[in-house]
Amino acid sequence: MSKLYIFGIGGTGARVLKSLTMLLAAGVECGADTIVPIIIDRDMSNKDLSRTKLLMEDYIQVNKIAETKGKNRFFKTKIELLNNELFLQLKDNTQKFNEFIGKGTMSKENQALMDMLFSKETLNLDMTAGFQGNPNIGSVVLNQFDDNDVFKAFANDFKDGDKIFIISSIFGGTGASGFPLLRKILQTPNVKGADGQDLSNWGLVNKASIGAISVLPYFIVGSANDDSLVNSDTFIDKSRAALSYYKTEDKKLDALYYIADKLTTTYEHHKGGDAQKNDAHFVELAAALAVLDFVNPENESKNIHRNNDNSIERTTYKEFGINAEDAEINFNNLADETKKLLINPLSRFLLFHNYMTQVFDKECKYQPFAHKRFTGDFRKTSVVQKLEAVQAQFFEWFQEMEKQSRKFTPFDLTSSSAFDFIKGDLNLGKSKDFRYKNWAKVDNELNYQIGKTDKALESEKRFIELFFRATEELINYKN
Amino acid sequence: MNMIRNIYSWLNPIYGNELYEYLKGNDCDGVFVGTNHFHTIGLSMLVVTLILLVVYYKVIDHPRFNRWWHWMIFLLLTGVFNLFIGFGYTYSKLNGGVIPACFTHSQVETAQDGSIYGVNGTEILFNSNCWQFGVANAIIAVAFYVVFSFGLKWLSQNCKYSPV
Repeated sequence: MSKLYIFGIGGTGARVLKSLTMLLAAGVECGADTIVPIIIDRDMSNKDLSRTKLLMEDYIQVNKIAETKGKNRFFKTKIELLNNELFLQLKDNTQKFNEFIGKGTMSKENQALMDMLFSKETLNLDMTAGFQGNPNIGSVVLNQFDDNDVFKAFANDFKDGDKIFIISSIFGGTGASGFPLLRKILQTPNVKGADGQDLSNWGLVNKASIGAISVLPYFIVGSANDDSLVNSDTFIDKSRAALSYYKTEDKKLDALYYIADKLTTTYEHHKGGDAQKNDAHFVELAAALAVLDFVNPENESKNIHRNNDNSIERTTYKEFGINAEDAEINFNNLADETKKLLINPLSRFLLFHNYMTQVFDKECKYQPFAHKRFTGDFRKTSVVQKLEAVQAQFFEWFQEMEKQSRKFTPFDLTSSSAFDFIKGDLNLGKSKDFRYKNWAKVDNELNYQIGKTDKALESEKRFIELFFRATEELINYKN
Repeated sequence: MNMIRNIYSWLNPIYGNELYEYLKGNDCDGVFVGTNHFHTIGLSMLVVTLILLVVYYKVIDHPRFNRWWHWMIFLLLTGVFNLFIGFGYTYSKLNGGVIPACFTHSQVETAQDGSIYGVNGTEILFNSNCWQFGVANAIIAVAFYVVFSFGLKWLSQNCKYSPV
């Protein structure tokens, strides 16, 4: 029962975690039994964070019906929250950076030094909306991870064999500054908690396999119409500066993944808060694949190089690439390994979604699979509603990825066909039974598979098991 | 097989006693002498009904053809097929001169060769009786269709809750 603790730092961290949750909901293979996400951000009102939180809460509820002792892989990987919290909230609540450093209480000389080190805008920066692309203040403010209950819970929960992964962007404020700080704390011996006691299991944390992804610029922001300090003209310079610093991370991480995209979308400028709601992007999906690559036991010998005393011998550096540079990409553009990982689960889960939204209501009273099981108020049960809520977000996630300059459009989202929604020339192993076409084929498979599911299962578990089995039979991509 | 004959006997008020007596194989004196035609007709009726049920529940067995009204279409087809089977069988016997005159006429006479023939104008068995027998056959077939449906529907993948 290995766990993977994932620290998602800043808005990008939250969005990559969202993509990872989508992949897990669809049943993409994950080498860890349990994922423990921890989001670190000052900007708690950030819409990207709240969307990720909502998704994860729904996922956790649906995961309770995923263990069917059958074949089901939808929502199979457990997501667990430490202390029932997704966010590692920093105890400090000061709004302005100059309040945080206590500039007002400093001597005149020290105040003058602060004025030299930080600009007036930076000192007066309202940090409730994050660090707004200022890693220099992020590195000061974030240096308090260990003074936190969630961090203590993380240490208490940590077991031998568990792994750690850090997701951050390199071109903003929170992620760029938080990543090296967090890595450093995680590998510092004898870290004490707020109560002055040594954090338990910290030796295991120090020695744990650790990977990270640093997301390089993949979007830019328009010009500010408020006092925001975020400026995408500086993204490349900041990335370059941070990368040169990250050289010092060599041999401190088992694997370090990089991803970027030159074809950038311009987002509306928001310094943070409720208005910061960026559309999902393929880069976030690919970054989530880095997490899965890191925990894939088959890749362990390639990713992790440790010597006999369990010290890191060398860091594995990896980048994500696509087969051909194209503004609009679908499954055909992906490497065979990625296709193998993604096509079946994503297509099956979308087929499940499409069936629920386009067919279920119309057919459930006629189809044997649903007879007296999934009719009446079944769809109104809490867990089924959560399942459908995740599916709706899954669908929206693809819609958003289509809106980017680098569009990821593996599916025709407007299609009302049961099978032709998958783009590209793919061998999906369709059966040759001429009797059934389109949605009737899906119903036929559901009516067949219901007999294969365990009758003793509670109806919600049987429902998810049934749809997994049916979609697995209907969509079976082979390289 | 007597059961089949009995079932047809329940409906003989529809198609007439004379035709019933002939079909069950009696002679003019009410003595069983020959073929029990109900066996042939009943067997055909059962085979046709079962074929239609198998076509509905196993051959077509379609998720878009599993509503109660689809089952009704096959019920109607069963009725229509058996109507024509019942009619066709008796019509061929009646117009082929196979049915003894004592069943087809109220008055009969004996010819010089000793054979019996019906007196013109005293006919009591008409083509309409054949149609009526067809209706009776259809009713019986429909009843079997309903009864067999409840047994056979469980063999179906997509229509096991059709009609209910």
